[in-house]
Amino acid sequence: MNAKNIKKSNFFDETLSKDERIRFDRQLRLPGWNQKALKDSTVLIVGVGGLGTEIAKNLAMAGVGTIHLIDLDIIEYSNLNRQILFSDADEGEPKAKVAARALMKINPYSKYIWHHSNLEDVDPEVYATADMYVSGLDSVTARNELIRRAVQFKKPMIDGGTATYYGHVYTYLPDENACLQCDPQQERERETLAACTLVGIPRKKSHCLLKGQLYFESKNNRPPDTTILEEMNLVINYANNLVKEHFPSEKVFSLDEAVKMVDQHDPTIISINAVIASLQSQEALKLMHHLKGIELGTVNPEYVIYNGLVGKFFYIEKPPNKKCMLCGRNATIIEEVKIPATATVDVLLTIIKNRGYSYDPEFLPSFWIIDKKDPVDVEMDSTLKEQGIRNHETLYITGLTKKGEELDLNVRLILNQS
Amino acid sequence: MSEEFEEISFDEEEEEEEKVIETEIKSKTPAKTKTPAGKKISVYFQSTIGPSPKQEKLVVATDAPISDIKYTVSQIFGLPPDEFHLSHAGRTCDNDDVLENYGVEDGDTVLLIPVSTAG
Repeated sequence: MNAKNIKKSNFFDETLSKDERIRFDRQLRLPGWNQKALKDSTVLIVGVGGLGTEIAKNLAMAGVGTIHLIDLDIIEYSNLNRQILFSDADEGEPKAKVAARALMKINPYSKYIWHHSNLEDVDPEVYATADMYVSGLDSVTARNELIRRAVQFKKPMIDGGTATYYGHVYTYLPDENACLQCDPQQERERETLAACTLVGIPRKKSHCLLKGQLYFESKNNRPPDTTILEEMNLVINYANNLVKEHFPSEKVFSLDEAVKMVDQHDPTIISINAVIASLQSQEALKLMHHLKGIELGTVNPEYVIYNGLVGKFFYIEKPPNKKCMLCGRNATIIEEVKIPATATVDVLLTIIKNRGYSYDPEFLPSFWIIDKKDPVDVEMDSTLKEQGIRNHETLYITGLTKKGEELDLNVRLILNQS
Repeated sequence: MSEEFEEISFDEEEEEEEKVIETEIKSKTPAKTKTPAGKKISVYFQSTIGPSPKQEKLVVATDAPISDIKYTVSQIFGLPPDEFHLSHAGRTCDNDDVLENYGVEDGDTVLLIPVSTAG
């Protein structure tokens, strides 16, 4: 009777120390809340920038037990208008590392594991063993890499993003709503210094500004510093002379326009980041309950848009696309194979053959390690261990047939460590 | 878009369907089918971004490229075309595709949604 009561209790849960019980007292009073569910959860925060730092701060303060922080970037002074965890840090320090250090001060009762790395090179075991992924990424390409892992490991992925005064939150729930590849997005194009387009007469107004930059570079052997007024004046005077000559009907560049185009960064403000990150955090906290079989509200399966200019939300239903190449009926099959790390790839091929796949003995199938920034070709006659193949690694295999049909296959390896 | 083979067979099917309808029209009421390519339809465009989100009814050709429609819509709403995507029934429309591939029909609503990729 006593034991059962304690098990159900937030206030006397034995997995929490007395200090933790005092720290979390106010949230232990929340209806339906289960602090242990948070303590026992492992969350991946991918991208520790404007959104990621806010999400990490929220989840750490709430008492999520294990938080992985993944980011390739280093801290810049211009991060400090919105990225709270870096206030005490030096420019140039890795974001993931500094974030872990700052979180340890905020809540020392959780584990923070940092990865100063791109998300592709993080050990697949991290992705396989986390409960969910929360993304604070800034590119379509990176989101595509993360959603592949979410779909293939069947993990929820709580995506967020911002653009000026707007933002979105979308929680991918495996087998329930659309993944991010159900309608693939292209990366936004940026105007860059492609020398070939800049020879001769400028064809677009933006080319005038690029030519102004090139002019500066040819005089100074370095790009202009957008924080120095004299340098920007040189660029803009050159550019606007060209605008007047070739685009007389258009307005000349203003100083601020020129700065934003020469030094291209997405405009962001803490308030929008905080709204989006908080929505992501709240969905994450509910999911942590659900994954442990505890009821607490529902996760919104819709795509949520926030317009901060008018303070309004919009909602879009996202049904899965049956034709999706990642999660639809034509998606590449995943076969899970348990195998010792000391086995050769040749042994693996025999296992696959015994599962009904065949191949032309003259042209052996190709094996690729895809959980890396650059896919690696695998050799047949060396062992998995020798080639650095990790537990939960996915190999992509081409050149197989099944029932007379050519197909590609994903093989997920569960390595027996001996 | 995803599979060339399927797209080709899809086009052929649609052509056949159109022929069948032509013969049917002579004798009986035409069955309701998908809007054929090149037809003009009325679509409600609704913005979620900008300082005053609103809705506008426009007549568009179903075989018009998304990039053309986005340009027109950007002029009407006063929003730069690279700041929004068009979205229909939960699918975000690709610039290089055409409207009809997203199953947009007469009277449907297409949303203008932010390109919120920053972190």
